[in-house]
Order: sequence, then C-alpha cells, then structure tokens
Amino acid sequence: MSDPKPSSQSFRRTLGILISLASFISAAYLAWLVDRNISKNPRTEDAQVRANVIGVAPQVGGSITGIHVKDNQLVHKGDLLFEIDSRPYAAEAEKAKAQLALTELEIQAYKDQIDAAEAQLKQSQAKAAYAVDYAKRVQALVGNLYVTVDKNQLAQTEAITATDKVSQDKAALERARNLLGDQGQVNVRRVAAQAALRDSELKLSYCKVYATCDGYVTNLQITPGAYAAVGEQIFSLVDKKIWYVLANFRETDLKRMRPGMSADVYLMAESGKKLRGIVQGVPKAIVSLNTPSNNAPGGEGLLSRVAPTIDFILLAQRYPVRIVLDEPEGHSFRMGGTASVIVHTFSNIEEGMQVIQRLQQVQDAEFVSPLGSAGRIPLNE
Amino acid sequence: MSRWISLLALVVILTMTGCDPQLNIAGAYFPAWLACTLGGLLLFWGLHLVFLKWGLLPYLVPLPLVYAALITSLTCILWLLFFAVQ
Repeated sequence: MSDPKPSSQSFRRTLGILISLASFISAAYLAWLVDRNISKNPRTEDAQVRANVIGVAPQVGGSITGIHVKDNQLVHKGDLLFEIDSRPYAAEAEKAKAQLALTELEIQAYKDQIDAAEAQLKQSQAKAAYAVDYAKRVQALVGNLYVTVDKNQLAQTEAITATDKVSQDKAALERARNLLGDQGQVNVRRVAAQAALRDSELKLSYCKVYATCDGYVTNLQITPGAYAAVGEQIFSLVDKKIWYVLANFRETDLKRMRPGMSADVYLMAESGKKLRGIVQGVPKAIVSLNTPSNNAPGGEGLLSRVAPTIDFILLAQRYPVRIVLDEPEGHSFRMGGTASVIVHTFSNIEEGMQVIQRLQQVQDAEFVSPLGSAGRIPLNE
Repeated sequence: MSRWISLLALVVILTMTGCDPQLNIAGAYFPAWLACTLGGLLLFWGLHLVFLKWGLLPYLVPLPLVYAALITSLTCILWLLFFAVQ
C-alpha cells in the first residue's frame, strides 16, 4: 500500500473528523441495507425436513407369517410388505361361497313354494265360485219352500267360508313371494350372500399387505410370529416422492409471505449446498404458548381462566411455513434433518405455483390395490 | 503478512460455503452473522494499525463509538458480500 503520509497536524485532524463522520454514516447505511435485505428475504434457521409418513397397519388381525422387507429398505408401490396367517380368512371365504350356493337352492325352493301357493289359490277360487253360485240358487228356492231354512243357511256359510279361503290363499301366495325376496330385477337374498362372499374375499386379500407408495421402510422391529391387530401400526413407510421443510418463521415475517414464493433451503446434512423450495402454505393457527392471557375456558362455571402477567418483553411467535422441495430425486433427504431457509418475497409466484402443481400431480398418482379399489393418498396431513 | 494470510483464508472459507447461513465448523454450526462479526473484527484490526501508523487516533472522536461503528460497517459489508440475497 502506498500511503500518502499525512504531514501536518491540521490535516490529520480533518482526516480524523471525516473518518469519524463517515464511520457513523456508513454504519447506519449498511445496517439499513442489511435490514432491508433480511426483511425482503426473511430467513430462519429453525426449520426441519419433513416427509409424508404412512403407518402400515393390517386391516385384518392374525399372526404374521412372513415379512418380505427389511428395516430402512426402499420399496416400490405395490411391493409385498408382509403376510398375515390367511387360513381363517380362506375358510371364511369358502364358507361364504358355500352359503351363496345354498342361497341359490333356497331361492329355487321359495320359487317352488310360490308355484304351490298359486295352484292352491286357483283351487280355492274355483271352489268359492261354485259355493257362491250354489248359495244364490238355494236362496232363490227358500220362498217356495223347496229347501229348508237350515240348508239355505248351510249354503250361505259355505259360500262365506270358500270366499275367505280365497283371501287366505292370496295372502299365502303373497307371503311366499315376499319370502323369495325379489325386488324388481334383483333378489335380495342373493345380493346379501354375494356381498358376504365379497367381504370375506376382501378380508382374505387383506392378509397380504402391499406398499401404497414408493418409500422407505422405517422402524421395523417385528418378526414373523408376532400378532398383528387390526389397525395397529407395525412400521412406517416414508414416502419418497415429496419432501418438504417446515420452516418456523417469526410472526413478523409472515405478512409478506405467499404460496408460490421461491425459497433457498440449506440442509445441515449437505453443508453449503443450495436447494430450491417453494412456499406451499402459510399457517393460520398455532397454539399460543407465549401469553397465558388467551382466555382459556375451564375456570369456575366455564368462565375464562386468565393468568395475571407482568411480562413486558415478548418473543415473536413462530409459525411453521410449509416449503416443498423441488426436484427431490437424487437427494437423500432424511426426515427430521435440520435446515435453514431464506424466502424470496419478490420472486415469481406464478412460476412457483406451477412447480407446486407439478409436484402435486406426482403425489396424486392413484394407488390401485390388488382388488382394484382405487385409493388416494392425501398431500396434506 | 500473516494478518493478510488469515484474512484471505477467512474470505476463502466464506466464499466456499456459498450463501449457506450456517457455517459448519467441526460438526458445530455457527450462524453467518457470527462469522461476519469475527471477520469484521479482523478487518478492523488492520484498519486500527493503519490509524496508528498515520497517528489519527487522537482525532477519532468519540473513539469507542467510531470503533463500534467501523466494526458494524465491516461486519455488514462482509454479510452483504457473502450472505445477502443478491
């Protein structure tokens, strides 16, 4: 450095005062620049890598006969994960199949019953017709004393009895038809038996548990022979298709943040490497832990319970802003990893929304189970 | 000379980390502003030696505030150079 050596004392005084003034002005200006940069691009070091986790639980109970994956293994959608003892469910399915065959025979029997009831009705209708005609003829002869009063009364009674028998047989026919269980074109007995068979076949199919997404087997600590209860999670599957970061931003940073803004994400696990993320959503609610004066119900007579407070320094609440990581392929993210995030509030939101849509389409790919029932895996928890 | 080498080393370290706001030093993570403050202090030390050489110290008034302002400025410059979103 070629220093121009200040010679006179007055020159040094002037220079000193100028440097003093410049130092204050530059400090204020540079601090303002830093503050503006941070408020335009809010950042946080309080962020964590997250993924969607599927708790794998069987839909039928039984002892596990085979586990076809290892802990931390990558599995693909549709891979067989484990099997449950299927013998009871196979027996149930056989039973349901036999029950369906039996139901077919029952239906035939009820149809025969209807035929019988129809024949019976025809017979009683013919008898009633004769009895009514006969009673009329006898009635006409009563005045001329060709028949006794008693005989006339007997004829009348028989006519009434025969007519009632017709009503009885009509009711019997109706009952036989109802017992058959036809409703329009379908027979409800058959429908019930078929549904029972389908149900038992479905339960039999549930004995084999398949992966519902591409992902990593996590926390598998069970061996064949263990009993698996219905709905009880056996291990977890970490969905590898979509990864995101939950970045806890101060409430003061949230007003500028919108979904679609791009973000720089740095992972501690990959130090110095800048990853691209897109803000997917800014949360609307958290539980307030800061201030106890949140009028919680539960006091005497359901009145608010408000704790007295003398806090005069309050910390900003933090809200978990969800940031989706773009192009997750080729990275080995780990859920729970520490991250730091910088959001660009002046970035192109349209472009960011397109990225989110693209990622959502990947996520929404439909899962088809072995029996063909389609199920969707929701993106948000 | 060793002063300039250490400064250069710091600049190289800062540049190599890119804009990562967390500096990984032997498994511990330090915030960027801490590194900037350390760098600012080192740079300021050089400035202080220049002031001494030129005999300016009696004319920097008030000295503690001027020094604080200079450290702040240098810290901010380093931060703006290496960690700000451009």
